[in-house]
Amino acid sequence: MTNLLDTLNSKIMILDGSMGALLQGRGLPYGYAPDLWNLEKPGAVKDVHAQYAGAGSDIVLTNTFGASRLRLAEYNAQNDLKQINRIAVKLARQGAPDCLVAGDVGPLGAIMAPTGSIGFDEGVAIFKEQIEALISAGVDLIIIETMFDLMEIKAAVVAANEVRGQTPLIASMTFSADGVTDTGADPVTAVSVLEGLGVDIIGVNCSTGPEPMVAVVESIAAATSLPIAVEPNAGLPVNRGGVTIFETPMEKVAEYAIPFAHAGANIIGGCCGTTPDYIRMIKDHLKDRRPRERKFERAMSFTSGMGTVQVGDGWPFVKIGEKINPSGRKAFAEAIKQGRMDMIIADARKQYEAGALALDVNVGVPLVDEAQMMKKAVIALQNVVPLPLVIDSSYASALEEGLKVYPGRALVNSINGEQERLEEVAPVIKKYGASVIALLTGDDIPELACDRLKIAEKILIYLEDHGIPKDRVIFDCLALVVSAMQDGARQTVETIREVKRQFGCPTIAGVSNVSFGLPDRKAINSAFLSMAMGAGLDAAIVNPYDESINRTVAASSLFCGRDPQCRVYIDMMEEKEEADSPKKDTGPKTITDKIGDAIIEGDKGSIVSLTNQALAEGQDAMSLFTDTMTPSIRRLGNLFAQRKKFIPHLVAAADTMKRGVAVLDPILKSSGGIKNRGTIVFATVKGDIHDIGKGICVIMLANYGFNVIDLGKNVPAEEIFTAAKQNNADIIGLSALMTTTMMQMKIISDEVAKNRLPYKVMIGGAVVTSTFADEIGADAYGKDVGDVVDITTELIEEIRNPANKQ
Amino acid sequence: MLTNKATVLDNLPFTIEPERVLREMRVPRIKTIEEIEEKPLAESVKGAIDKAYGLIHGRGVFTTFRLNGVDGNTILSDDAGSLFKGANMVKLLGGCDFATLMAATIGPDLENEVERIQKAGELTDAYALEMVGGWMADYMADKVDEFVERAVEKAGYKRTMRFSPGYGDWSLDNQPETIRLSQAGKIGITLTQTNIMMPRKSVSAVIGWERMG
Repeated sequence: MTNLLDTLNSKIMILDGSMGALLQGRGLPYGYAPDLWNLEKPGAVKDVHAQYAGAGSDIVLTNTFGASRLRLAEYNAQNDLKQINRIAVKLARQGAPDCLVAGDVGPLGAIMAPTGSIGFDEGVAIFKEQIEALISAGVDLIIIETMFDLMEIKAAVVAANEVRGQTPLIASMTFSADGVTDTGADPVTAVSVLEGLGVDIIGVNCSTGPEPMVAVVESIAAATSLPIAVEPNAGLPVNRGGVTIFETPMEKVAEYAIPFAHAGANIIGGCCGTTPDYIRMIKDHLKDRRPRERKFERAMSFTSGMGTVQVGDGWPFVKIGEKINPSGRKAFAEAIKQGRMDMIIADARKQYEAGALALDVNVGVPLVDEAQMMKKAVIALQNVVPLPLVIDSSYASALEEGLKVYPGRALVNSINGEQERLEEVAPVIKKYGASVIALLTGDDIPELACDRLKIAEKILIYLEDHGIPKDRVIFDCLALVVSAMQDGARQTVETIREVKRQFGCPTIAGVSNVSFGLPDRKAINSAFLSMAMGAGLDAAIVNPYDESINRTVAASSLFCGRDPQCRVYIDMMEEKEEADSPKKDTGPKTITDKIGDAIIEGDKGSIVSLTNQALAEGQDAMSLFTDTMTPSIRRLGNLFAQRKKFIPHLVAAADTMKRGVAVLDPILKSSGGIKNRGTIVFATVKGDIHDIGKGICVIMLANYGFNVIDLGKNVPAEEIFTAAKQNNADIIGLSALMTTTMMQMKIISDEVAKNRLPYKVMIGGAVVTSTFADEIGADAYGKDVGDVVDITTELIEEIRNPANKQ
Repeated sequence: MLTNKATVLDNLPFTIEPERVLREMRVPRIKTIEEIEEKPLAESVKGAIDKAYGLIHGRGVFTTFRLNGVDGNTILSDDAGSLFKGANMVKLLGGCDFATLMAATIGPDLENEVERIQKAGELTDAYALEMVGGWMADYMADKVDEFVERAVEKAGYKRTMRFSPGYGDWSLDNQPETIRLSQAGKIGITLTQTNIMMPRKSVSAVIGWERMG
């Protein structure tokens, strides 16, 4: 390993280019697996390697991009896997004897869970089988390339780490034109994940062609000190006559060799469509150029599948939401017991919207399979929030199940100075490349800062001995309950300062518990947080809904170099001012004004109490209905007609008025009831199950004093006619949302016409048109729920006064 | 590329964009919930969005078929039979070597909740949740569409627009074959006798792989 990595400090090395295109030039049928030619046409494969060696490649890739079990199975060649990979290494050695041979590993050709069906362990096993074959055949390094999914490259690297020993590893991802992978990971996030997993070289290959890749290489170079490999395509693929070709000429590709070198590349080669001529020209451009020296100070980080949170001096203070935790939350614990994710998701969204930068996830409930629950929660959370997760459990098994379904570099909560815990959790952190919170407790809780620092040192030594560098560790300096351990709490601030000074590691604290047992806990929490931030605290697990915490973090950040130009603070206060600004006072209002406003504003929460209040004040029920509520809903209808209000306003107003009318109804009934303006039998037709639009129409009509019989959905014609007859209906109202069900409307309309039944037919629904209404002889058509009251009123008028029909 | 083999997608990540929900509700100009003047209505819309996060489970499936040419009004395909027929389809797929049938769904939980709260008399909340579901079914279709588009582009083709049964002259009678061939059953989509997809908040469609130049 040392040789290759040392060489990369002093020389830009040259990779080879495409294998598939050259084999096609030697007769490989389009669509046939190139890997199979290792056995079938070994001479052709060897010849390609020789050509690349002749063109100046320092490293050649084995012809094994698709030589994993799943890919070979497409050609029923999975049983030849070992032989295909072994022969591939031999051919590369023979064809390019002076080059390093990199065992090439491509994607599985299937999507990994949780989006796809390949589970993490299964993915690892498939990759491991191939990589083991390549390693045992004696490759000089492994290259995992063309990966667009962090989950998949994570499985591949975990597999490689299990078998590669000291063999160097390049992990290369594909980025699209917008600078992120297909699954949305930006280059910095990819770097964080791959560094965490311990790869030796980070690569970018395939993609869109050379030009957009330069910016990706620059981003990678700014985020890591590891060497960088670049393999551009000869442009985007184009299918011509059933053959995929790449049309960017070699001059165009090669001229990017210098920009790549400037950006920080240590290895440059070619991907799809490039040939030995491309490689020769790239080498000519570089003229044995040395790689750019990169100075890099690495911050501790953890990531989601798409974005990264950096932790340390100069970075924004990291608020980690504490709410996904069953401690002291009975309903939450019950939801976890039932396997329900709704409360976890609701808390995640709420904390995200409240400004948390990451979420702690603890699902530990007695008698619950915590490992399976953690897996379920981590999958569910990634679907709904883009934030990095802190996987929090006392059980290594739960940590591991969570990490297996997490594409990013998670933060594990936590390890401590207990030997047993270190031995149990450190291998999990190492395997999955996680960062970790190290709690400064040992077999007991030390009060003095100096004792806590001894534990910090023990933890760091243990982790570094087990391959986990200190830039993956954040120390929890123990925020003790101040009412119980006053001096211990003071020592926490000192510990924060000393951990940063002595070890250069970031610090974190749980804040909410420090105030336990005392009044005005928010003041105490804020005071502690402010002091701790002053001592250098970088992150805290907090209640992100607590406004005092948010203000303390924002204000303290100004003094800690965490908010350049005070931008975050000013923005936060501006938003708050806007939210707090008082609404314009419109003066005192009568109770009927308030009822009218409630209907127009859709204030269903107030209408019942307002209506009761009006009745208590002696208002007449009928008058409230006819002189207050009906004019209000009519006014809203007019605003709808003027396109000043819209369907949701109509729905909310109808819903509100319905509740007000329900209060009046017993009184109105006892005095003869509201005058019936007409009877409508309403139904969603047979075969159709869409109900909500019809439901809104029903309530709107009822609010206007029509007698509406709602038959529901999927109603056969016979049932509609029976109900119409029984209720002496004036109108049959029909709703349908599908082209397949709207013909039921014709059946009903025809039946009415044929038997001269005394009903008007009105129709509506998403697929229904006025033309269709005319074609089937319906009496009226409503384009949306805003029409229903007007067309019903018109139809009733026609029935009552046929002479007035225009 | 692989043909005739379904790719199943599960746990599709999602964000519910209030602007798109408001557009689904046919409210023009307003882009954020904060812009809704009526606070109770704004709360209903926000409440529906928050609730929907716990009710949506995005899944998708797509299967690609080789096309063998055009015969009159029918696109020939050994594997997809005569599913792709009609003037619209010839216009869409006439220049294509492959066609991908896809389906997407948000699952049944949201519409079950709509039905439950509608029955409980919570009309505004039911309506708002229904509208969120309507947009999110399209959103999941867009997510599946992105997977298809990447496969199309990586093979050097251009993708066509997405076209669904029930539009233009491709009648809803083609839905059973679309569901069968796309293997939408693998993500829990079934059809009623009247060809309504269950869960209702589902989308099926075809996308063509068009030759370049």
